[in-house]
Amino acid sequence: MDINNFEGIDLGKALPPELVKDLLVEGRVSFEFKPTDAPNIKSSSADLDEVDQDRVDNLVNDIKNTEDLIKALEDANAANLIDMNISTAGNPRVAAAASNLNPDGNPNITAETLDIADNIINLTHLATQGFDPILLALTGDGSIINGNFVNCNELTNAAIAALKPGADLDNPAIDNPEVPPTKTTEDTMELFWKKLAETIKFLFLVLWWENIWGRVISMAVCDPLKTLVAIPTDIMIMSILWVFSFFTKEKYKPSKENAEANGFLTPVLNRFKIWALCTFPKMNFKQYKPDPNQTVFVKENDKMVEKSMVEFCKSAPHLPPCPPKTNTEVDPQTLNSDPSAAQLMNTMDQISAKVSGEGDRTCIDVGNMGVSSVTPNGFGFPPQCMQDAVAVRNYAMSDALNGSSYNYNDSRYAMASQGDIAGVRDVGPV
Amino acid sequence: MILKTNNGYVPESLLIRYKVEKMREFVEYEKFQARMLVDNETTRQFKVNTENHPNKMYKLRFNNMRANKYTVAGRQDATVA
Repeated sequence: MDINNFEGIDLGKALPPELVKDLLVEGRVSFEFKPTDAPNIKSSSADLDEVDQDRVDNLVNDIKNTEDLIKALEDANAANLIDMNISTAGNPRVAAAASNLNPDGNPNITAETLDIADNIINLTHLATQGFDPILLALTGDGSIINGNFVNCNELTNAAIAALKPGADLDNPAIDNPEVPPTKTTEDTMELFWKKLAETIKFLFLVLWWENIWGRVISMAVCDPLKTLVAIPTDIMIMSILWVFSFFTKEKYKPSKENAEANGFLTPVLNRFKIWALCTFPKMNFKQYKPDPNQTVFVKENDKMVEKSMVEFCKSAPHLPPCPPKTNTEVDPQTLNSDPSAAQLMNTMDQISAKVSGEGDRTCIDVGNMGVSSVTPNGFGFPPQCMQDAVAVRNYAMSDALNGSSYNYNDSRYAMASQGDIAGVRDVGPV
Repeated sequence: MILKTNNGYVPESLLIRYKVEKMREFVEYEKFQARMLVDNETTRQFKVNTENHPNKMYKLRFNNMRANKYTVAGRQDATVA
């Protein structure tokens, strides 16, 4: 059949098998189209089925061979680079970069350093854009530097552990098939439901102890008529929660230990509680008086001190006013000496000002509330991390190209050692 | 014989390191395409290899629930379920 002549062919229907056979050219149609709702091209020829099956098998085998080759290259690379120890003594910029990346501060570039640099280059966009950097820092086990950024080598946090090249610690069966998994799916699910139940109970208790009295006071002052109807309903609901709380193992009450707990929820709850109790009632109801029996824990001189709400709210109006929101007023030293961070902080400040109202807003000094040392003002990895990572990678690549580190006694490297490549080693500022 | 520099590594390995990374990315995508075409012993091994690869990015990309729906084995599982 002449495939250039479509005369007599109804293009709205299935093409004849002969034409499909001619169209089935290598590189054009790689396998047979199965019958579809609009079967413009289809064939039921047994010969074509066999051909397609062979092609699929060949394709799969080609991919398998390619993967085997790449696996061999990866293994060889890992073995050839594992003893890497490139000295950076001649370049203080790269030495500082390597010591910043290495967890132990080693200024030399090792295989681990190169892995960390690659991780930062590959994952920074995820760590700074794909995830919440503050959540990232909270879930991590690293430290916060200068109050603004997480450390460069903090790639061990839970959020991106799944993306980190390395062993999957949660599944020993992957590392060693001989070792059976320690946790079964049933165990994991049981733990999940248990933690979920504990969380729900905890939230009920928090609601009971933290919210009911404030809600009652606010409603009673704001709308007495509505309160008459709503309070009995609330009492019923809260009573159920209160009775339910007796079936929990741990009774929640705000305590010093609770306030000092190095967790996420407690500092946030404390912060919200203090802010809400000092701000909302006083803002809306002039006759509001703080409950003298209600106490909060605040941090003073690195110690948790119990204060009454009356005492704390007296000091609340004296909190420092917000600085003027101009670029020149932001102290770069407090922002890791980084202009982009200062700009970001200024933008965030403007956004929060719009949310909270530009007028008589006051800044709450989180340093007095026991949360500043726990809640980081992190922006993910600082730009310095990326610069260090690129510097380390460039220096390692230049070292590989440079003849100075070759063994001159080895004839294999004779050509490479004929002369250094001018300027390659000089990485300079990145 | 493996010849290493005075800095303890083979420079050729470092020079092709990122090329190998690109090749791995390419072959992982090819493996996923093969799993979309056919379900046999080889493609099942493809999935296991991706699962065990130290770079978990490929597992996240190609072995997640949504991606598995497009594979022959995933469609068969859905049909059985």
